Amino acid sequence: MTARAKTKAKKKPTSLMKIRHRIQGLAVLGTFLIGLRHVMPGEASTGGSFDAFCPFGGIETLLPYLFRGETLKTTNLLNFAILIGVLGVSLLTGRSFCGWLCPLGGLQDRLARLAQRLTGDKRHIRGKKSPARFPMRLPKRVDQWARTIKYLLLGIIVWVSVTAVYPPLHFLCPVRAVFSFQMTGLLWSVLITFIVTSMLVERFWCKYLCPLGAALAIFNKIAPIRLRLNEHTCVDCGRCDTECPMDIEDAHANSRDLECIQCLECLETCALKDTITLEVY
Amino acid sequence: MKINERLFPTIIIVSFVLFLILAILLGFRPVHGGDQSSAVPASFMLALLGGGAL
Repeated sequence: MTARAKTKAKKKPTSLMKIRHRIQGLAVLGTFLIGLRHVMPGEASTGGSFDAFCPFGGIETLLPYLFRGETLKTTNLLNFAILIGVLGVSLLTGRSFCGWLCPLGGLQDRLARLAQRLTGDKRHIRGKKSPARFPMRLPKRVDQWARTIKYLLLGIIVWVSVTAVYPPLHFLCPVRAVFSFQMTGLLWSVLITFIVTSMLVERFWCKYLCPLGAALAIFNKIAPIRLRLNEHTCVDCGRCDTECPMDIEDAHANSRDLECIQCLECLETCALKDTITLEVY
Repeated sequence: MKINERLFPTIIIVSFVLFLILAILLGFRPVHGGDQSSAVPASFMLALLGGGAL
């Protein structure tokens, strides 16, 4: 065997989480470029709207489009196309859009990691409980109650959208606050709140407030591709619980949970071979 | 049926792109400087919702 072949044989494959972080990074970069395109000078670059690239814009403008035959201001038919893309992913793999493709999700993961480093966990060991002070978990009762807020928010937004002119979330949207470069006083406060809460609680926006996540949650129950736990080999060590960004209790056994974002952190963390596997039903 | 977890990112990206292209082909695309309410997607969605209700 030549030296080159030996190096090739020894080379470890890129970890699944590295791939996930790279995909999230690309989603963040893509959204950043879309935001930049809309503030660059020139007729061609200012055409359309930043909101038109948002999958949730498709939900916001669905009822007005069906009842009145026109989309809300700042949205257009492209919102439906992107929403259909997201629904396609969800139909096959559950809420994986949140875990793999959402630019806000990617930013939150990085902010949580930054908070972890700043508060005492410089070299995080996978599966080991972090000694860092932040991000923290909310008390169980508060957490469970707060997780219902996003479903209420989704209901209110859809209800209000029937008579709305602009998408109901337009003036408060964190994606606009982070990426649109067209800041208002309100959006600055949303941006600061987003950064602070993401550092205090991991995936704060996804857990408690994201109406798109609420809409996609139901797909976790019907998606054919999902995680499966081998109960015979699982020793209930809790390693997967420490890594779950959504803080799902018994994460290994609850891949059908509405809160699961199919990030596969549990699968990657599990030390026992073939205990958590990805299967098609 | 067990699938290789390393295929998961590919499944996500490919299904997103395929459904996006399908939606654009169905007529869900912005019309620059024109009417945003195309009749084709509206009737498609109504048919879809009607089908779901039945």
